[in-house]
Amino acid sequence: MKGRLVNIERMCVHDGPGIRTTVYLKGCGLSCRWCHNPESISPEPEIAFSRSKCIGCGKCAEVCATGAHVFADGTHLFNHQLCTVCGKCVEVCLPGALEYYGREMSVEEVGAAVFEDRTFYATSGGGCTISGGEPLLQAAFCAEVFQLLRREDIHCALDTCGAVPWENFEKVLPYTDMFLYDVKHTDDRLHRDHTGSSNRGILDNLKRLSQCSVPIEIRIPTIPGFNADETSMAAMGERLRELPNIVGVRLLPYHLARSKYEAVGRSDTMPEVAPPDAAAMARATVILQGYGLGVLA
Amino acid sequence: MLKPFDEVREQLERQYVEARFDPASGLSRDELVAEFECHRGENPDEPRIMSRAWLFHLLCSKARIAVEPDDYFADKLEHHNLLIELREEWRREEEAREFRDDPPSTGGAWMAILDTGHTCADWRNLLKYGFTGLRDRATAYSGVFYQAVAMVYDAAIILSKRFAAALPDGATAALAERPPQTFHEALQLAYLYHELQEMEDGYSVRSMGRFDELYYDFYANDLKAGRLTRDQAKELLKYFWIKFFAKTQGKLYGKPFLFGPNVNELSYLGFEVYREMQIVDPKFHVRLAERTPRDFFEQVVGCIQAGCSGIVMVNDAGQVEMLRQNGKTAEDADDYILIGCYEPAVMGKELNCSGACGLNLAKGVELVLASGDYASFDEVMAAYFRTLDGQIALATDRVRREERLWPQVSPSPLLSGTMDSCIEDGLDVSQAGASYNTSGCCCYGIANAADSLAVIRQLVYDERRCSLAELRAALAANWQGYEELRLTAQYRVPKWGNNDDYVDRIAVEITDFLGARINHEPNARGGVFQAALYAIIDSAKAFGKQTGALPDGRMAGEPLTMNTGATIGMDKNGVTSLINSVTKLHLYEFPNGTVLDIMLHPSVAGGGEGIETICSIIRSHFAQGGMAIQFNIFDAAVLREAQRTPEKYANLQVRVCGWNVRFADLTRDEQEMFISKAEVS
Repeated sequence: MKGRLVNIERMCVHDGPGIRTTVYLKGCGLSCRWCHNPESISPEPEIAFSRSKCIGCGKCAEVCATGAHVFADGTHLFNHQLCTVCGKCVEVCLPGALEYYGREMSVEEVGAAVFEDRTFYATSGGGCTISGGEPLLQAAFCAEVFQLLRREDIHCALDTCGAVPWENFEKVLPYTDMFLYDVKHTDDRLHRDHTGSSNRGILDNLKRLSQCSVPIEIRIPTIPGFNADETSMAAMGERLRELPNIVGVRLLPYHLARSKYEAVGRSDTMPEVAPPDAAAMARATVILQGYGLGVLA
Repeated sequence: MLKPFDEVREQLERQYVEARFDPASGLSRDELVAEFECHRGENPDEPRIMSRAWLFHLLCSKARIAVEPDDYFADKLEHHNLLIELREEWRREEEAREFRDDPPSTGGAWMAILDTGHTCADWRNLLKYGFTGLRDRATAYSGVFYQAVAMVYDAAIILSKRFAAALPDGATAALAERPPQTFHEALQLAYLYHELQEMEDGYSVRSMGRFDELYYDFYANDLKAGRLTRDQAKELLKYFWIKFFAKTQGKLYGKPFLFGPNVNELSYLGFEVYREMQIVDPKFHVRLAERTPRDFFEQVVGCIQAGCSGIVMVNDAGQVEMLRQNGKTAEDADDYILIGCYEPAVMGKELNCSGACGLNLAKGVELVLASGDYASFDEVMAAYFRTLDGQIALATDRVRREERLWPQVSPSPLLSGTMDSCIEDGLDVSQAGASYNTSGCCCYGIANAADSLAVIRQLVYDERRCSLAELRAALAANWQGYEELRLTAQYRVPKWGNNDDYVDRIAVEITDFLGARINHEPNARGGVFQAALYAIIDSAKAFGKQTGALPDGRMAGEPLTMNTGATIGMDKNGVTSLINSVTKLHLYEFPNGTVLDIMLHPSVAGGGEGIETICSIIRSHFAQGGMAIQFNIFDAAVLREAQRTPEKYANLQVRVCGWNVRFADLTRDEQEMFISKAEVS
């Protein structure tokens, strides 16, 4: 079985306990305005262009059959609409300014990549995290990867936004040691406005998941102007306090990734607000702690 | 009680720069030289060890001294480097005769010297016997060597008395009479011995021994007897350790103290002081064992995290096993320290001359490429090994010839007098009097060599993308006009440090060859050569200057890649893959030391979780066979800012090789190297 990946990152220390290898899968049902991995949203392969790495050699234009790469006055223009994602330009781009997102890897290939760092998992209490995108859109793949890893005693965590049918959770539940679960807002209207989707399924899934005796770390992307205010945080705290198996809440401060939107030719939806400062993060922490929640630094 | 350290720190940091020697306290340089020349004139046939001892004695008894009333220690003797000048005079004379017919240059393929600087006294004997006991021990025998030893220790006693007269509250009066008994006396003896060793052998990279083991009893007994409080001990240590910085001004070399593996109260106290001082000298090496208490490990890692880059973590079990496999007895292997940067040696029993020779692994690739065509990659490797073999033969031969000159160049009765074997056998260290007499061969540029050979293999033989002749032309042109080929070589061929077997296997093959070829090669002192995989930055630059463009994409003249790590910017898979690559090497085959540099961004290494992360990286490295590891934790943006406004970052310290320095003291080029490394992390 194969999965479609964005990439694999090593020595991740913020995606669950210890030192971990994080496998980013491609495709997400939400379209959060602040998304800092826009290359992971589309389930289809795509080609990203990083202008800063381009040396202007023009090789991509030479091999492109559809004219997606154009050099005008020394500037490299990449027309994503014309791109058929054949990948030829990526092959000839020596400095790596063009990147292919969406390669397919087998369960065994992912397993082999994860096994490379097993000493680090052992010394740090780490393991593997499958993230995305939304990994549960490829739940069967996740389940097989985890089965393979667990045979070798590697801790398996799954990072989800929750916006999938419950059946998808059931596929991975027997093989998952921990969930990292995103919660963005309790207000459905605001949630729809900012993520393009209702929060009802997400919160229902969270409630069901919390009954399953698997530890859950809640992750709240903290976005000024959306959910960083006291009322929103308090509402989330109120909702989370009653759930069992929540081992902690991690606040992820909003940070900018505008160049990544340009790279994949996606219109930039990132809110025009500054990242929350330390004081704002501290306020949010105190509010959540007020609901008896452990806030992870 | 003297002033609190923090109040006088600045003054103490300048104590050697601004030392004022009272003319009334002794003779001027001219007068000292005149007396010595007179002595030489009257004794034309005197053995050189006696001439050295006589000059040593003259300096201790008659050169000017300086003491600071605001100091716990006395140590300043205006010796004008006369012993070093004498050594250099003899060295020039002997080398001119011995090497008259040798070619003037090695072409940047290797280097060799007479390395008299990498030493470690038998600190246990020094503290047990004191100056007086070591003098008496030598006096019990007859012969020139013993006379010389007795004479230099007698000189140390005379000097102690002179200091005692000038600084009555100090600890030197006792040292003129007996071995040290208090913590203060022990530290005074250690520092005064250190200064005298500098006077005898010049400023280098000697080990200061196993700190927590050597000084614990002095400390504990003082505490028990109520002579000393913990806070007073901290003050003493600050006054003591600041001297090492005051000597180097943080710019070159530095002295290592070793901690562990048996941790005691003094281990914790030492690191507490080190962290408070935020100082680039001395260096602290830590033997990390299974049994090392977690809280001590975390304290040390906390120091690393807080910017104390002068710390090297050492794989204790690995080092002991390596030493046993390389000819040390079990007991001696357990008693190792690191001399200089990372070079293991038995404390007080081994002269490892770790910097004796160096080998430029990248130059070998250049020579092989330039000298012919090869039908297969196997033939390239065979030619490469033939080339290295020839260079190793030349370098080790040169070292052997240097070593034979040693007794006539630099007899060291002070150092020899500490060592049991020298006393038992009546031999100076220059005559191989130590129990173990090894010589180092440092191999430079493993990353450049492995990456270059991987490029040849893939582009010329596997893919036939270019011919060897084309590659040769591109390198001869320093890649000018071959940009596409250069980029292909740089970005389309696997690079060392990414856990990719295509290139890693080449590195393993090279290092296996080096270990087999270098270790067990006899030196001229009854010992053997020992291979190393660490780099002194000056040599990495000098070798780089003499090396043309390389197939790995490096331009002519650029420095070689340091230590065991990847070329800057090439370890794209991160720290775990770097460690996985490096630990594929059979590091046991490098008994003269190896080290891995890790650069981490503060977002990964910060806070309580950061300590956990660093600890896990260290444990993982060692679990896989790594021997030593050192860290730099920086945000490239902060380094840029420090480059722009050095005055605001005066204390920012970075680890560049065996020693760490203040960032502001690096040259612009070195700063750029460092920042580009941080940018990658």
